[in-house]
Formats: sequence, structure tokens, C-alpha cells
Amino acid sequence: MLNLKKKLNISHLFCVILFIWNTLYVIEAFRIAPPIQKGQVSATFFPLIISFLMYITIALVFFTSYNQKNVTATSFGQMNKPALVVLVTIFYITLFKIIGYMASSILYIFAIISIFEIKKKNILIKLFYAVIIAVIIYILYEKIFLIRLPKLGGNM
Amino acid sequence: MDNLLGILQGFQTLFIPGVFIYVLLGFIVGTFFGAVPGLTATLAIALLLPVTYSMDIVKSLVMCMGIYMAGMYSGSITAITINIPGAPSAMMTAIEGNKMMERGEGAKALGQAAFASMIGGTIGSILLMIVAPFAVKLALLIKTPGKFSLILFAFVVVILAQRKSIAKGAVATILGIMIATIGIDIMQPAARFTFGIDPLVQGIDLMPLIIGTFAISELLIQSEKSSDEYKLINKEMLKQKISRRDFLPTIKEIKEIGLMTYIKGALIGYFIGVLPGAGGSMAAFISYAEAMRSSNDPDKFGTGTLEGIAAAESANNAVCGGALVPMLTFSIPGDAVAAVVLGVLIINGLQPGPRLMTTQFHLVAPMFAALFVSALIILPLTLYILGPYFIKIVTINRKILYSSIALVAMVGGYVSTYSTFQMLMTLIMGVIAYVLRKQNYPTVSLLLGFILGPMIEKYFRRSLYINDGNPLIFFTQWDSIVFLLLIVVFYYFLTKRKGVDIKEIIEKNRS
Repeated sequence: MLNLKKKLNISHLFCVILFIWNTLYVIEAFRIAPPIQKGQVSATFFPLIISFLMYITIALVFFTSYNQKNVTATSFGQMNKPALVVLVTIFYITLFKIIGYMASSILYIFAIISIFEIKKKNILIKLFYAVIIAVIIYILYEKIFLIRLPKLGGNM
Repeated sequence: MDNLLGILQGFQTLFIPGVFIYVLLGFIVGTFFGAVPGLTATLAIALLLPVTYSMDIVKSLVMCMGIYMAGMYSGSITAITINIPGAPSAMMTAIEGNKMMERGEGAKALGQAAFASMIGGTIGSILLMIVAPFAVKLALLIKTPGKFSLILFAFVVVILAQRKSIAKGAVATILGIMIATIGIDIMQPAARFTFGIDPLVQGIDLMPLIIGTFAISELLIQSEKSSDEYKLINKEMLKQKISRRDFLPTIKEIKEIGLMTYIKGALIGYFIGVLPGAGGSMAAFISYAEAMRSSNDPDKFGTGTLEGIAAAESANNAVCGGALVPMLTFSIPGDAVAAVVLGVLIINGLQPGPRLMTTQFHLVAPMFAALFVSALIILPLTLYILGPYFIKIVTINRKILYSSIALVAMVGGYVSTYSTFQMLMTLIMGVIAYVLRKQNYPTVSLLLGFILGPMIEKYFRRSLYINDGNPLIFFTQWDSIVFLLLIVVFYYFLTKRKGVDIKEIIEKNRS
């Protein structure tokens, strides 16, 4: 049992996630339509073939990494910062239409810079960079390429 | 004759100042993205994708060609100077180039990399102009079952190209196909695989997928790295001093390397470029291995030889021309950059294929011309003018760089449909690609699966409809049989035959 636990790693967990996704995909396919209707292939026939192939390849990856002595796949040990980036980006998406491009983008860039360089000093410099980058991108999109970005209150 | 005239008109269009400036701009952007470790030409085009909406398509395409050629070459800058390849295709250049740098011959190595890239890129783009019209004629002969087998062949090559982990390549490809099935069915007006989420009825747009896969995933990967690591790299870079006059390769050096090394490298690169999913790194690797095999003195490889740089660089730049042939004629991209350029075409309402190459050749011809001019003229000129400053370009503050990338990527996701839902999809695709990359799954396979998935399904279902559901149609049509046989041949060559163990030979030579 201990030996089995040692051999299982993050790569196997990912295979399990893929397996669950694939199973949900198959269930959804059968919910939509049977693979063959009136003697002809339906909209779910091809997806079911690829999900069958997915099961085979997931199994191959799982057992290959199980038998490998040195697993090369990287661990998720350093995931704190990427998780923060994702969280900040979700906030940015939420605020984007509500407070408009400029205010939300300044906050977003400030947050990303802070994640990339965690130093309490230089807050004003970080803010300065955030404003400059947001303005440059604004000019590039709105003025040069004439792409409309949301204003404060969600107006275009 | 018509094609020749079309290409000449392409050159005429390219040299209009308002168009030519975009090739130059693309070349500078590509040089920067190719040179900075972690950034790639694919990422550069992915970030520019949203602005191509409001740009003239010819300008967008010529800019992409400038980025493509520059990105393929400029990976060699950091590969040579600090032994960190700016792009994966410069891996073999790092082996030889950095040894030369240590001997104080860095400028000579950079000059040789540029010269070989120029020859490779030029031969690749000439072959593109010659071969593409014939490929169009071939494409017209292929019927629906043949098209299915052709894409199946492309998938097999994409998967087998991941020689270290074929199963992971297959998983990533299938995942890409699955994501592409979300939304309206390709043959019936009915939604599928929406899992009860209404906005998924519109499907997942190509732009969020491309931007997420290449920009957001890179942002997440980079966020893990410490700033001190980069400060150290920057310090190393600023130490390097390079003189402009040392860039020019001498006739003696070229003679020693042998013109055949350049030509052979270019041909290898071109043909590998044609294969889907293979790309610049494989081309450089195979060309380097071939140069080592055919060299009079293979023992010098790994110790800092110009011959190794010439073989690798001529091959990876020739890939550009090769990768565009199947992309433009069959909608099958040869590598990741070609896949993103395909995205530029699709997003702007153009469907690559024989029709694009015949009725809208005036849009494609400037692209050919831009690739040729980028390789032959802009590449050596850029090295000569900007070469001594290359080192400084890549030492840009990374927090500014990546926060700008984050903003451009997210706004780019919004621009695709002017909805925050696609911004969210960009983030989700980025997270998926990040997890795949962390687990060593090839994300380019995911992208190719997404692009080619709807096509293979369409041809598969149409073929079965034609033959009353009987799959024997794939084994009775000559065009389909040819591609199925090719699958067997490639399977044999890519899995059964043993390659040269370059690592072992280099280690031996170095010790």
C-alpha cells in the first residue's frame, strides 16, 4: 500500500481529472442523442469515438508514468503565485465592464506587478507603471486600431 | 505564369511604404519576442490577433511573416550569449554558440546564425512560392474521404512528433478536438456539449483559445519564477560586449562549413516544416544530426563549431516556408506559428484552401514576398544595425513585460466578441494550457486538435453519409488509401527507427 502511494503522483491525479472530464463528456453525448439515428451517424457519433480514444490514451499515460522510475512531470509546489494571478484576473474580468477599462486595468496591472515583485516599497512606482501601461494599451486599441473598450459604468 | 505574375504583384504590394512598414514592425517585434527566453513568435502573433480585426488583412499577414522569420532566428541571440535558447528552435545553436561565446567568438557565432538563417529562410520561401501552386492542384484532386485521411495523417504526425511522450501528445490533441465540439454542431443547427451553460452555445472562439494557450499559460509559468533569477540573467547579458564588424562571416568560414551544409539544412527544414506539428526544434535537431553524421570531423561538434550553428539555423528558418504550404492549401498548419497565422486568416473571414490560393491570391502573394524579403534583406540588416544592442533589448524589466502581456491578453480575449464571457474563456484556456505544460503535455497539439477537429469530423461524417454509413469508403478511394499508407510509413520511420544519440556524442566530444 505504501509502495503504491509512493508511486502515485500529481501526473496520476491529472489523469484522474481527465478521466472524470471524459466520462462527463460521454454522459453528455448520450444525453444529447444516440450515436446512430435512422441508420445514419448522429452529432454524437464522432465525439464518442474520440472519447473512447481518450480513455485509451489516458490509461497509457497513467500506466507509463506509474512504471517510470524518475517521473519527469513537474509538481504543483510553486502554485501560489499562479493561483494569485488567476484570482486577480477573475476580479479584473468582473470589474472590467462595471468600472470600465481604465480603472480596472490600472488595478489589474498594479496587482500583477505586485505579484511578480513582492516588495512593499515602491508602491508609487508600481502605480506609475500601471497607469503608463494602461494608457499605452488604451491608445493602441482605441485610438490606433479603433477598438472600443468599456468606459466607467459599462458604456462603450 | 499566372502565379509568377501574382507573386510579382505581391512584391509590388509589399514595397508600398504603408505595407512595408508592417513587415519591419513585425520583424522588430519578432526579434524581441524570439530573443527573450519564455516569449515566442507564436505568443507575439497571438497577442496581435485582436488588432488584426481592424487592420487590413494584407498588412496583418505581412507583419505576421516578419514576426515569424525574426522569431525563428532571434532565439539564437540568448542561446549564444548566455546559453538560454530564446526559442526552442535555438536549442542546438546554444550547444555550439555558447562554447564560441566562452572563447570570445560570440559575434562570429551570432553572425553565422544570421547568415545561415538568411540562407535557410530564403530557400524556404522560394520553395514555398514554387511548391504552393502545385500543392493547390493536388488539393483539388482530393475528395471528401481523402480529406479525412489527410487530416488523420496530420494528426498521426502531430502525435508521433512528440517522440518523448506520444501518449501525452495524443491526450492533448484529443482534448483540443473535444473542446472544438462544444457549441453548434458542424452539420446540424443544434447545440451540443454545453453542459447546461447557455453562453457555451456560441462555442469557444479561436482567439481566447490561442491567447489563453500561449499568453496566459506563459504568464502563469513566469509568475512562478523568482525575480532574482532574472536579475542574474540580466547581469550576465549586460556583461557581454559585441562588436559590429565581427558579425560578417568570412568567405573562408563559409567555405569551411560548405555550401552544401546550408542547402541541406534548408531542405531538411523545409520538408520538416511541411509536416504538421514538427516545427523548428525538430528541424534544427535533425539537420544538426545530419551535419554531424556527414561531417569530416564529427568530433568537433559540441565544442563550439560554426558548422553546427549553420546546420541548425538554416533548417529552423527554412521551416517558415514549409509550414505555410499545408496551412494555405489544406488548412493544416505545419507548426504553432502557422497555426496562429491560420487563426489570423479565419478570424478575418478567410478560409485557407485551393479557393484562397486561386481567387484571392492577391492577399496571399504579399505574404510570400514578405517572408522572402524578411529572410534575405531585413534579417542581415537588422543584425548589422541592431546587433550590438540585442543584448540590451532582452534585459527589459520583467514585471513591466508580463503585466503588459497580461493586459493585452485579457483585452484581446474581450475584443473577440466584445464579451467578458470570452475573457473568462481566455483565462480558463490559459489555466488548462498551464496545467498541461506543467505536466509536459504539448500545447501545440491541443491547438492543432482544436483547429483540425471540426474539419476531420465534417469529412468523416460526410464520407459516411455519401456511402450510407459504410466506413469501407476510406479504403476504396485512391486518395484516401495514399494517406492511410503514408500513416503506416511515417509510423515506421518515427517510432521504429532509432535516431542518432546527439547528446551522447556531444558529451563525449566535450570531455
